[in-house]
Amino acid sequence: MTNPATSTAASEPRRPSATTAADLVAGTSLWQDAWRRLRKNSMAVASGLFILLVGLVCLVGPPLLAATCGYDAQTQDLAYGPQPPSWQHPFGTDFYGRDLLVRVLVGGRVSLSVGLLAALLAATIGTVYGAVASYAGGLVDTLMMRVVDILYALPYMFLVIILVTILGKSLLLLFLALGAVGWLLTARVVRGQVMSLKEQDFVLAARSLGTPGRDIVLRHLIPNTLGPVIVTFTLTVPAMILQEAFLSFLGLGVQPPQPSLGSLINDGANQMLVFWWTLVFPGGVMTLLLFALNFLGDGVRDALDPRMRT
Amino acid sequence: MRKLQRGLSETFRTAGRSIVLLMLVAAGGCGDANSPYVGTVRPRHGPNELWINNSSEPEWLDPSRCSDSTGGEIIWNTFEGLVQAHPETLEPLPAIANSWQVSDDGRRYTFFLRPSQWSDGQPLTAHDFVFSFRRLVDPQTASKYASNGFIFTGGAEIARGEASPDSLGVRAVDELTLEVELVDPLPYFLNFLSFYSFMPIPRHLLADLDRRGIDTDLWTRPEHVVCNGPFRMTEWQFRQRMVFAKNPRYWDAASVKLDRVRLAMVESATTALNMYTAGEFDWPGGNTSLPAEFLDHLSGYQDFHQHPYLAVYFYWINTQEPPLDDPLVRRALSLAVDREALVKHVTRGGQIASADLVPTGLAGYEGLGRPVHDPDAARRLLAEAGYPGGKGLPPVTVSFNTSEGHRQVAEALQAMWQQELGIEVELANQEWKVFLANAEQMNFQLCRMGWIGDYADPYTFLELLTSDCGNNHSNWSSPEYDRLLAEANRQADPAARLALLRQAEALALAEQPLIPLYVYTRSQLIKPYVRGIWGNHQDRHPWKYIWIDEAFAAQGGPMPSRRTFAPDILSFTHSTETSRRHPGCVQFPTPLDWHGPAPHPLPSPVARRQEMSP
Repeated sequence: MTNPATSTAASEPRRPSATTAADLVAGTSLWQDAWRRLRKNSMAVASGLFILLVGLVCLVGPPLLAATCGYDAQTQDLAYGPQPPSWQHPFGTDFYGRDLLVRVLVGGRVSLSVGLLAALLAATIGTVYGAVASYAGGLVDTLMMRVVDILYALPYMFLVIILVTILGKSLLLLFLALGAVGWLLTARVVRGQVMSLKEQDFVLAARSLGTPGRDIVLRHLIPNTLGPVIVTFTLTVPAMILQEAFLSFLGLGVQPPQPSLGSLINDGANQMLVFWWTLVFPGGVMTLLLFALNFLGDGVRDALDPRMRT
Repeated sequence: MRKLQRGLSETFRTAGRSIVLLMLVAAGGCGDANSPYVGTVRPRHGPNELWINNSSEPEWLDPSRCSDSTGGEIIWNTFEGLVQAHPETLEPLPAIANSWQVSDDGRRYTFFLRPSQWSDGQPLTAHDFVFSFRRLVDPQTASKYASNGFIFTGGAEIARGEASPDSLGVRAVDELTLEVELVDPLPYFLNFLSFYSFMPIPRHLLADLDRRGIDTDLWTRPEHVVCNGPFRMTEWQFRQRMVFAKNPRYWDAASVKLDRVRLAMVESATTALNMYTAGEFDWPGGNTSLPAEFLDHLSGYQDFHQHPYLAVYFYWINTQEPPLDDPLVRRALSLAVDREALVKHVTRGGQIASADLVPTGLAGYEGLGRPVHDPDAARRLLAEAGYPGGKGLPPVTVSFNTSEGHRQVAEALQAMWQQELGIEVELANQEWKVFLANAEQMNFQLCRMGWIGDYADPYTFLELLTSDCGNNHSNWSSPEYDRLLAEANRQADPAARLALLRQAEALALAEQPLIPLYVYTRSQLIKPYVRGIWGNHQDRHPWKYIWIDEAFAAQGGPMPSRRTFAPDILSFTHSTETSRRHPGCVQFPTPLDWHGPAPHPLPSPVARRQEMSP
């Protein structure tokens, strides 16, 4: 075995990851090992907890604030106007007199869900595409990967902007557009992975038992590429959040009165010299969230990297 | 003229630029915290040069076709008509016409032209004006401003295709004499004649391009353009900048001080402000507004100026589009808007809340004074229309051209309609040219618009709703309304005329084909070394009179004594002296010479008027 990571896989092809760790009683599986290493990485653990916390607060915060203080993300109070942070409004209020904390929380909810969903979509498309191309090989592989190369050569944001302009400006279409363009890296990673996997003995065994090609790809090859895919996924989420923010910054993303972190930052950037809090709070939350997601992604990558095994 | 107000960057370029500029500003632009001016006061360019902003790419630079302020700014400074507007009072002054005669019934004008040249050296004749006026109303030109030509006899018939353009009541008696026949004895005719629709067109250039097989629509491009005004375009980089150089063949070239004008296309008001601070603009220009959030802060600086502006901000309603085809719904929408809160907390520039189409305070005209906010009545009307509490009403879409300012107004209205009436409102922002195209094809439900009075008379606003006006984007028309306006223009007695106009306005607004929101004001920043800009109610500031005070620019210090303007000038007051000469003319109570005396005396209306009588 040249690759210790696939040592268990070679004798017994694994089923999808969620069940694997529980199923293998004897010894330490790759996943248990990875989990153990991840827990040792305090930065990644703290980041993970922070993301969970932010996610939770974004989820329960707005209804809670609406119930206790009567703040909501859309009702304006023009006469109240922009007020600096106070105990009553910890993040201050925006140009239209809306509580900024609620808006940041609702915006965070939008950004996180767009990031997760778009990254999930990108990972799914990329994995299937890469695996099929690589398994089929030959002319099909060449053609499919040249398509990826061509898309890669085009400016990514440009494609998203065209898609958003054509499809219209709704939240659902936004994450579809981001996901539909963001799968290229995953496809390449998975293809490389499958290239080496498909020459291995367990695939040969499956093939000699008469397993159809579709099943080999879905049951044997894809589950074994999950490690790299998860790493790409965790690093795609912050990228997607950033893309969403960028589109909203340009006015192509989430439409008012609905907030997203990107549109809040855009509003804040225009007013920062007079109402600094409208930029500092959404910008701060966004920055911390991106840092945390990237630390977590790095942690997961290190944990899943077999070379890091001691 | 349609008003483009301020723009928001939608491109990487401007977004990136604003970040860079913010850094610039942080690094040193605002270095001196005690400076009485915003940003640097040393010009970044050579002498006799002016750097300003036009905000957006103009839709047209062709005088016959242009109908918005981004093109108007350029046409006014590159062409010159029969008369020009006084830079301060906007009174008509002799320009290409040296003098003129009026018939006793006020319907026939004879203009005596001075010998002058096009920028390619060809002589400018009365035939060029005849060509231009005919082209304006010719249905083949498809000008949105064809209605400007309806003042000449035969104009409306030609535009409807019922008569040949040759039958227009404009005639070249000889090379330098032009005779014009009007449908009605319009009191504002000479004021109106300085408008850009009435500029001459170089027919020899169009004929030449046609002969060479070049699309004649391209005649305004810098490689072809021939003009007769103080400046000529020499460079046009799309969405970047235009550069203009002094036209040495302009008849009054001796009065033109600037050699070169650079016009940038920065849509974002915030970016424009940052560029002003950094010295990239000497004056953001007539088409750029200041971001509302900054007005309180900026008003303390000495290069900040504010003046009233004869323009209304309103929303067009597409009256064919359900549910807005119901006048009750339209009136409910109008009454639900809290205009006082809008001008006080959103636009923040001292604008005047108004539910009337004709700006409050226009001289001699008694405004309707419709209620600016009545949410209870709005709810009642909506219930009467069959949508109590907004139930059953489909969502409506508000379109606006990309800009922070328009978005702020739209977001505020969105919330007002949602909170007061329970109506779902969606927002759609569009680039200026796309926005205009959609407005023209009636491809919208509600869209924002601003209208600048082309002359100081209620008619310039009321004409918007006539059935054959190319700028009427409401799908609303009424024969009775058209009749009242036509009758008003035939009236010789000014009081009776204004009463008829008022009756027409009441008739139209009862049906609410549009929702007037406020009367504009202009807030501007002008570098202290830029001189020769006067405040006037049309916000027209000819580059011809602008000059750079090199002494101040070199010294870079504060000016010894300067006037500051109290906010009480923010109403249209009416000077009896002017209105006697030009009924309906709006005037400032005191002259606003923003930057001290001009290097050459301003054209004096009194002295020139003696020349006028032949």
